[in-house]
Amino acid sequence: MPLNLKRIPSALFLLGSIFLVAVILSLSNSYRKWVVVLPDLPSKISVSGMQTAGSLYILRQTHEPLFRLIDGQNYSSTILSKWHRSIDYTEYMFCLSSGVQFDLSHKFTPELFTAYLRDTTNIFDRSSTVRRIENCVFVKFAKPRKSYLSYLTMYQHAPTCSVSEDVEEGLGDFRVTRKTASEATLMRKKSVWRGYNTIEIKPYISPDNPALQDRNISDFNKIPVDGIPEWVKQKYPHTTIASLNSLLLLINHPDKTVRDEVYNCMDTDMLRTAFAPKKKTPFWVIQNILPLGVAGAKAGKPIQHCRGRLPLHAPLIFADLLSDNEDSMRKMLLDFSLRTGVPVTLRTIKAAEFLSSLSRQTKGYNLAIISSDVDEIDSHPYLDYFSWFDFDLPIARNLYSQLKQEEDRNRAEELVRRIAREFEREKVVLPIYQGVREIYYPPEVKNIVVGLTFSEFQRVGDLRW
Amino acid sequence: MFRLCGRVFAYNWRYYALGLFVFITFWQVFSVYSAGVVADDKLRTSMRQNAAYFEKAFLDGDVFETQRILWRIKNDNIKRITFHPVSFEGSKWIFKEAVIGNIYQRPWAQRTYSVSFISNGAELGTLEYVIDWADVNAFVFEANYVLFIAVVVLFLVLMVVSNLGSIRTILAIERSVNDINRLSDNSNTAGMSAAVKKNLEALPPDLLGVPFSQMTGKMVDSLQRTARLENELAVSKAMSDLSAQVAHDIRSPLAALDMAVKNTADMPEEQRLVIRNASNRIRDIANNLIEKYRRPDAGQVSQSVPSSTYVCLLSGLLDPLLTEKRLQFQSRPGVQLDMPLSPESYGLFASVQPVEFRRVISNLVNNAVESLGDKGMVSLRLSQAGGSVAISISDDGKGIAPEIVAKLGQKGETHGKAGGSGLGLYHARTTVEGWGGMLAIASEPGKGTAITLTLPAAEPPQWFVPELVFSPGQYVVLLDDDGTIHQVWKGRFASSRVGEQGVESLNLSEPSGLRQWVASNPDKVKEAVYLLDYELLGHRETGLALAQELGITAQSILVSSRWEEPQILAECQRLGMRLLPKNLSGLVPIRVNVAKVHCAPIVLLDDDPLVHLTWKMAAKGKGVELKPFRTAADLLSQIASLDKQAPIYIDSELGCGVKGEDIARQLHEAGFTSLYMETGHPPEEFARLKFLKGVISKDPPWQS
Repeated sequence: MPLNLKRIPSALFLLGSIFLVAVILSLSNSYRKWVVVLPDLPSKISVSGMQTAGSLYILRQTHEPLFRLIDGQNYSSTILSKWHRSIDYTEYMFCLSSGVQFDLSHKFTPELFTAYLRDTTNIFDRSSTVRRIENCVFVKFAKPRKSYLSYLTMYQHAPTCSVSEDVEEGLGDFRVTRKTASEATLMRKKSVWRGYNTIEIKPYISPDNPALQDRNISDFNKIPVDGIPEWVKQKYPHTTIASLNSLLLLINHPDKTVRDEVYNCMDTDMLRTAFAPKKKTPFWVIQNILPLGVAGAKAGKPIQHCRGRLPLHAPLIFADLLSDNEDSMRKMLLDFSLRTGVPVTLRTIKAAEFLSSLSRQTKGYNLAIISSDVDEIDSHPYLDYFSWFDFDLPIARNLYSQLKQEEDRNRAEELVRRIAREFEREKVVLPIYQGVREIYYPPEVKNIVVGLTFSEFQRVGDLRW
Repeated sequence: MFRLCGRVFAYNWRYYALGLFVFITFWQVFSVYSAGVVADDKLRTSMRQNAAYFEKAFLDGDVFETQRILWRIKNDNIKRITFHPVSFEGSKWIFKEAVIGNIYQRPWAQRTYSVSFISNGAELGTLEYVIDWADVNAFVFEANYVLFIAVVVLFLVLMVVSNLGSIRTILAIERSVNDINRLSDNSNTAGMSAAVKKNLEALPPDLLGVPFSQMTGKMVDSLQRTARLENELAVSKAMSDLSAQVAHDIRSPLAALDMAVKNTADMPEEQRLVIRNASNRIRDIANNLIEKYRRPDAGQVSQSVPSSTYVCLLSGLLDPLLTEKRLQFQSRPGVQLDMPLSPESYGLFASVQPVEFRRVISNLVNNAVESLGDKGMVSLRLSQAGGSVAISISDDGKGIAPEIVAKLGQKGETHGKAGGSGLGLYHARTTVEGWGGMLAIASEPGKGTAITLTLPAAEPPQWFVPELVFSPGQYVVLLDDDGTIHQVWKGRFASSRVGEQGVESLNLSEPSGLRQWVASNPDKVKEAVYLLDYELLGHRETGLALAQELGITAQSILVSSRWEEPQILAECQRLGMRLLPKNLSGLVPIRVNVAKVHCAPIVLLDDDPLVHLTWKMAAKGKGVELKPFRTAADLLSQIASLDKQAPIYIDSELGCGVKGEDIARQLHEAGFTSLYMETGHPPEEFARLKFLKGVISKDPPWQS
């Protein structure tokens, strides 16, 4: 039967209508927001200084390091038009792409680029030389620096630009458009199709907060696992990741005898129970400061030998960053004091105040439980506890400095183990447990990739639904 | 060109779409399968290449290094890899699994495969990898879309090219059909062959001679044949119409001629014969025309029931048969065939099967002619005998011996007929006897033979007019476009003296005349009798329609030569009108129903006592009341008591110098309307007296 040509316009109209509806539906979803709940919001968004979970999360969205490590071993750049290295890792060439800018009024010029590289490389290796030819910058090292590119993948070394007192802008996909003490809004600089063009940051208050039942929240991965609502665990796809999130007891006392007493006599089970009385999620016990998943880590409890009571001693100050565990903590510390003769005073302190104490010579506390949030494994930040103490740990620090310079992986791993042993010998850090983490993501996201970076700090700009 | 492509597409789009769909599906499936096989192969190769490094990281418990190596093993078509380590004593590996890749779940498209991770013979664990076939398909298309589109286009072109032969054929067929349609619409059948031939030559050589081209040729022949037949049919129809018209029109003068033939007693025999033969011949021609070019719907009734009998007008069956026989024996001028119709043969019906009846009569006539020598006469007579009808076929041939006559009519008996089988007479006898009749043979050698068929008379159908009955004072209105038929009726009325009995006739030739008369004489309409022709030349309305229009169907009789046509018969029956075959106009009995009409006596004014006596005797015999007067004074003295419509017959010579026409004039002025001169003088002498209704002889008017 020949084609009824009179039906073609109707068919085309129908197809066109279907297509239009699909486009409209798609467009209607193009303004989906990414809502994340963070335990804290930094007072200042900056690449420098101590980073918290909140600040690291935001930096991930607003800043773009010079390089990204893709597939675990190869580097790529969205800032450079081309780059080159010598085969012996002594010379590097980086050429800036045209049109790179922080925002409409702040361009990333070749001059800025050169200055940035000079400053950043100088920190990495003082022996480096930097020179610029047009939009290309040449970096030369006295000796091979294999880890230079890895160094340039760190967010702390990403190009940044101060646009206000408390906000630094980077070359990332988003910029901060609104910031309060507890909330913030990030807008994508260039909208993308089927991506998240807005990030809303909400505060995490407590696990019981009704605001956590909001079905529009996309990311719960920065709050304690206990705080993740049940509906998220049922609706959102999830996977177990190798997290370097571990709870550690910092023992900040110049007297090693005291440190020994605390290290060997602190009951880690009691401490864990007292510190997080409502904790239900699984955890691993770790023997040393190295988190499981890192070469040299050991599972199991720390090796402790409690020798008995110490003579009467001045009370130690326990800085507690949580507010809902006072009763259990007091009880536990009383027990500790009775056993060891070392009195311990519990003092509840806010995270901001605690962080601000890091810049002081005397921290104001002797004991504190911290949780390490790491965004890059290769930088070994889980070993960088030196600023938490009132005293120096020269051997460990020296080893850490060697570690940061070490290019060879095997030797680096050995240094890591030695640093861990040093911390153990000095009794400055008592590992309590390592948290097991499941990460949850909204089901509409199609391209969540695990195993590449720290998935708790997901680059929202890369996500597509 | 675009139009051609569009039409090619319009013809085949379904098949192109199906072919494309199959090709694309096959391409995609094959590409995706190949990509899957390659991905699997690449993964296994990478596994082997990185096994040693993986083992070290695994044993060190370095999850992150493990993940890095897994990324090296993974390739673009592997969506996700999950490493499930083996457990062994002293294992540092406490993770259940290490996952790298996209965690998005799409169960309907994703398939999980497993492979053991072997490092130099040691199994480290199980490597599960997920291939998302939807992603692979998209990747394959994305990677090869230029090639894909190029191949698809090429495939489409190949399909079109491969169809070129059939496309050419289709287009040739289409051109051919269009040409034929166009020529057919223009009735140009002559050009069809050339057009078809031209289009066939455009076909690929392999298609010449195949059934399609043969079919096309046959179709053209058929069309041309059909056109020719249509032309012939049109001509035949025109001939039929013309013949019917001629046959119809010729009936009227024929009736007049038949009338004239009756009054040829003073004419020499030879002339009489010539007139009669000419009259017969004209009738034969008319009948033959009717028979030869009979309308398709005429005579349907008789043909639809061939085997059953029904009531037929015998003269209607015999008349055309005789015509046919005259034509059949035209080559024997010495043979005369005759069938004189008389009033006795009028209105004779019998229940017969017409075809068989004709065949019987035909055979008998043939036999009669066969018995004649070079010259002779065969006569058919139709008469009524009591309750039967007799058809007699007589000849003046050689006759048959009595002993042979006795045997004739039996099967196989024949007499004197070369090649005769004797079945004709036997068939005639059995057929007639089957109708309840009988066949009688009378013959005398040397003098001739007469075969008489006797059939039970059948009651005439209701539509038949057995006689025309009028009443005194009644009008008889004749409507016929043919002047000769008016002459016939005038002659009939004159010979029947209906006028003398107070029946007035009115001759009209156009419908308007009838309408005018009806409108002008409302008091006479219902009493009048109407004899209406069916076809009125130059007028659309028929006699039937006119009767219906004027509301005079009950009083009307259709006089038509087309009385046999079923639709006319049916219409008459529907309207309640009767039919009179026109050729029987000269035979239909006419009667004036004197008793029905008026009670007024007939008045006679004559001074001759002998006339008085004759009239009295005749009046007594007829039951007519007669008022005779011998003098004008007597009549005028009683004028007041006389009915103004009473017929008054006045002698022209009343004695004492009194003229009858003067008295007639006085009576006319007094309002008397039926005035007649009763005289021996020729009627022309009284032509000036227009008020006279007639001039008769001395004989009483009711004496016929």
